[in-house]
Amino acid sequence: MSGRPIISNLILAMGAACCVTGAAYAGDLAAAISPAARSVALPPGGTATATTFATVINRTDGALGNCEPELPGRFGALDLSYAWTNPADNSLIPGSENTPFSLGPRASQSLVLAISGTAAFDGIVPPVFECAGGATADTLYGINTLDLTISETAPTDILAIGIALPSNDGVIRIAEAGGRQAYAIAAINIGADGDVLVSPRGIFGQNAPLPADITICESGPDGRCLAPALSSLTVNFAQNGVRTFSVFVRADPDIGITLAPANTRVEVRFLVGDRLAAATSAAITAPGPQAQGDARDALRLAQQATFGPNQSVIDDIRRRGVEAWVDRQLTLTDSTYADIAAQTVNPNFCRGVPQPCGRDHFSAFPLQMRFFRNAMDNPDQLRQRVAFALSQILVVGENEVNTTYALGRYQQMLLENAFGNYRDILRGVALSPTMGDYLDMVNSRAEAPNENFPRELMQLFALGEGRLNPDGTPITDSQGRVLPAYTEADVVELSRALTGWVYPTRPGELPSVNNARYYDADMSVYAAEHDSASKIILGEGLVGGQGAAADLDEAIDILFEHPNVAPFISGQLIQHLVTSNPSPAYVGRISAVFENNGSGVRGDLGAVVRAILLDAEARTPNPDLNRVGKLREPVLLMVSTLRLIGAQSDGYVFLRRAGGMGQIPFESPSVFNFYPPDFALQGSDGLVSPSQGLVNMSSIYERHNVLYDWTYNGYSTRWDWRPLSSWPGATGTSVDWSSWGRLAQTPERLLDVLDDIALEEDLTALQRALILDAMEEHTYWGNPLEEAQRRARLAIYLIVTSPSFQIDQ
Amino acid sequence: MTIGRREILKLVAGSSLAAFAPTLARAQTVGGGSGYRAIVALFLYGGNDSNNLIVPTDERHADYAAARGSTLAIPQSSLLPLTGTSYGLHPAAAPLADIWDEGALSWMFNTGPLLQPMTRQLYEDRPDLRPANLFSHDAQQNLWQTSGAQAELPTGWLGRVGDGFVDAGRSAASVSLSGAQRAMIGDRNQPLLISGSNLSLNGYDLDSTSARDISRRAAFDAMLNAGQSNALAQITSVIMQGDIARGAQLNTILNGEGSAVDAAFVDQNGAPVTGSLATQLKRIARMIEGRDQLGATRQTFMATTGGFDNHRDQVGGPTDGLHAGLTANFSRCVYAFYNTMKVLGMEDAVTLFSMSDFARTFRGNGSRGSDHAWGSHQFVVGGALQPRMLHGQFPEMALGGPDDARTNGRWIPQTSIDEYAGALARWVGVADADMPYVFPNWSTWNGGGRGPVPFFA
Repeated sequence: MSGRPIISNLILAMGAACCVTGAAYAGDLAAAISPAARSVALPPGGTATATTFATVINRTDGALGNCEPELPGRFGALDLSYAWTNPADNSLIPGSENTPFSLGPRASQSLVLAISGTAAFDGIVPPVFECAGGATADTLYGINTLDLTISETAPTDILAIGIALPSNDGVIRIAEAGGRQAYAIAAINIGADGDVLVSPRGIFGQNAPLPADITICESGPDGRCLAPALSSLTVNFAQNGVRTFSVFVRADPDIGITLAPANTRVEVRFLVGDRLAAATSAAITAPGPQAQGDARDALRLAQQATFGPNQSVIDDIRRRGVEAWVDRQLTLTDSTYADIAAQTVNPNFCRGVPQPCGRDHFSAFPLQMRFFRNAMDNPDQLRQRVAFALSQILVVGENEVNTTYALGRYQQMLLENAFGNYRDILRGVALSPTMGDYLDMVNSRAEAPNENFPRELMQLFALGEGRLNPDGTPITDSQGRVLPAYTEADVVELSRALTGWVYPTRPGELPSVNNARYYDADMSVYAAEHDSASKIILGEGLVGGQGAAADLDEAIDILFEHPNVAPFISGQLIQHLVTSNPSPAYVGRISAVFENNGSGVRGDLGAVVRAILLDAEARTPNPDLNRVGKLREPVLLMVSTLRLIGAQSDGYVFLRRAGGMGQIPFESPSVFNFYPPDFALQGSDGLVSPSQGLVNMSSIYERHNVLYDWTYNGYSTRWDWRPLSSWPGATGTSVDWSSWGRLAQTPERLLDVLDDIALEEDLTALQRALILDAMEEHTYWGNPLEEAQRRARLAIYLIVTSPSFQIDQ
Repeated sequence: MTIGRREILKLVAGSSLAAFAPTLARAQTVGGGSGYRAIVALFLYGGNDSNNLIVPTDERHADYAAARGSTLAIPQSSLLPLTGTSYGLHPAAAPLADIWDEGALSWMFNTGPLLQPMTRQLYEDRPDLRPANLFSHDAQQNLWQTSGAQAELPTGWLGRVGDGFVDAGRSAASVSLSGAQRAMIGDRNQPLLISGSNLSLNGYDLDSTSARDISRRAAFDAMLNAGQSNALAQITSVIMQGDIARGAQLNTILNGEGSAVDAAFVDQNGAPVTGSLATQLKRIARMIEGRDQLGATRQTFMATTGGFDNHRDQVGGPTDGLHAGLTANFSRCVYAFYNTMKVLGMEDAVTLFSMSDFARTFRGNGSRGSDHAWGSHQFVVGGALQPRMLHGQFPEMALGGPDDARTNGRWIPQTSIDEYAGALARWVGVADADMPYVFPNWSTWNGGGRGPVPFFA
């Protein structure tokens, strides 16, 4: 068999590409090379030559002359010769050796290339096809590059010599959603015999997996599998042996695949050890639900409801639709801290025990690792975002309570109730021994009630300091002073009501007024320490003698029913999810949902969160520019960057770098969180910007430098990506840049993609020009694929460090 | 890595930091050294129990001990006598006693937020005259930092001091070493916020001339300096640009070689003092050392340290426990700072003063701690002070007595923040006519027997 079918398939696919993707993404020429990989033996003291076929197409309507292929200057050790071939049978046309050719409008020329060298070589060679006037073809790895190996020992040299596609046009065309397509490949070994791993894989966009299931089997002469198809197989090729294979591709019924031959392909690789001996690939397309919905709206929703947008999330939102996506998120429960909460230990558990005992049982570390791992991977993104917001309103911190299972139990309660009822949260917080320890309600006694928790319960967890209208605006007196939401007397009375609680009794021990620190249940009542007289809280009377439990329940009820709660909590949830300065009307609408979810229930957080995300102010493409905006807090900035680039991470990298930006989950410096909800944005006309509270001269640099390190400087052995050896199952962080590299081969398309999935506002013409210019200046000797990856990393660095990425609109 | 002046002007041109440019030009003409003054605010977050910081050692000690109770009261024999007075200090504050002996420390008794002079009768009869949200951390920190008394103001008094300096063309008027602090926010004044040691952008080297670096910087600048479509993003972006510009300049001052500060920042025994508060004060010292490079002539600084909210386990024994540890730390740091000022020859030009949310209830709670109170004792350190002065009125330590707002020893301040802070503001250079701008209630506190506390000669 000749190489012709492969070449023509590639060219046909490129031709199809021209009309689908537009001329903007390809040069004036298109070129394809096949086979894409050769391995040849170097005779002692002699020259090794690898031949391959090429076709060049003129994609313009003008005639081009003086065209020829050349090797880039850095391949000085290799020599390229070429000759014209007859496209019908690949025969060499005599007299055409090293003769430049002309290309009429839309015409093509077939060539054979011979690349030779006198020393060992292993790398990717990208011949440059150029005509007079500067018309060139873009270098596309695997399509017009040659993976060349010259070695002193006779290598196994596989030629993938045939690919037979039913559509006969270089494209795997799957007919219906979830349908199947099969095609055949033939390969011959023209080198020494050896074992070869035959491995298919999907190539799709930027680190998203190709939504198709691919298997391969060796087939007999009738095309049937000799053994069941697998994800890959190893065969032994004898010298001059020919084998045929069948490849099966089944598309995911839920995800359509758009034809994009440059970077959406199925590739079958023939690997001898680490070396790529041959590769053959075909473009692929499959029908299926296309991303329908508005792309920018999907990006904004992903910013509001997940830990960071990427292609997969945005496509998912566009396919399902905004409302259906939100409703589905409200049902997901993947993330948990329950196992951490279950690891109860006594306070002296680590006495005399070396690290990591203290780290694993008396610090927030295990919880933090879990938080970040969940944020990166788990599908219940909205639940996690809301739980994170709640953890910044109802704060407990490791600086005062460092028992791991205690922190785990508390955060699990917030996570489980993220879409539950706020009254349950208030009650859970009041009864939590973790909070009791953090704000000193545990062991508060009648003779000297402790005011810390009661004050913060009113000031931070339920009411706020000033009276609020339902739309969140303050209620003032006739002189413009804000009315207080509660008085000192209320604090005193509430303190009295909340006396008499102790740590729950440890199993096997007797209840006592001095129960040891134990966090694995609600606090218990020690009646003798409870102030049993009557109290008046916020104008409501609690009868005397009803006991501590009834006092607590009734006090929680009084607070929960207070009209401040709806705007106070709704407003902060809007700030954490959507925007820092919601309009009073927006707050008012959400408060109304808090007051009544439509079925007469007060405090339904699921309904509140749903309303927040679906509200017109969150979804409008035309927000009030004087009001809209939200600076990404450090946790969201870091996680969204790694999610964007498709990193795999066990979470440790965030803990290594978060300190410089001042926000480490569960390590708030005080109960007032990392920043206040009303932090004034200096120089603005009354705007607040809570996370600006963490911005200072050095955190500005840290925000830049961390992102620089993970993108431009994101090499695989980075110090902060290494796994923590003392943490079981640690995998550290890694990024597969190859898909980004493929995209970067057509730099304009890379910028379009980044524009779509990372930025709400389009890049300006000047910004595009400067980024493309910078990409072009970043040249790397040797591997063009490595060069493309470096260029992608550069572009991503410039995007994520910009204000446009760091500030949500 | 340094940024040349030309580069800074380029970076700030067209942004709201254009004001920065004239101050740099001015810096070329103002001489260094003379005419420099700075005040350094040390905020003790959480409410420092100053009732145990300075304690009477005469017959009043018995009242003190009876009212505080044996859990909290410091025995008379443990107190460090303050030379020439009938007071003693918490033993952990020994370094402060040394500064007192050198004549560079003064005390401010029973000061706090007040709308107008207040008595116990007035407190009970006229709740409308009380400062807003007494006993709340957030509100009282705000009142100390903004001097609003009844309203929590959006700008701070140190920030408003800085506004005057900015209007007069002075540069680097206010610097916070502890992140964003309300006290530092002004209207025109934009405080420098410094908290880390690395003030340079990775991979951004202005001195590099490689095509690769030049093109990358050009693209980075285009992204950073682009106009944003919404107001919040535009303002935030401009702040980012300004921070990056100034940070480079400061990087050399804060982290360069050849500073005298590191060797000078030591305790009475010559041992280096370390820790987060120490780092803040050392950086302040470095900036004072580098004042000529910044062209700074009048500055306000702020450092903070926290953990003073000792509702529980304030004392372990009579003189150990959480509060003792905190007191030892800030006392050592203040001593080391004063020592550094002497080494730099700047002790007469720099005054450090303390602030805190409130004092703590004289009578403890059941958890071996104390809750939130009101009037507190503060200290001021510097060579320009009249030596060894006790300012203000020490409260009568009677629970429920005439100085107590309630029944557990929440002293009603006899000196307002305006009078305390006003003295410092006047000293650092705020003109008489500008005082009402810095302190909105100034008319209540200036005249008729009231006025700035006479700390300085």
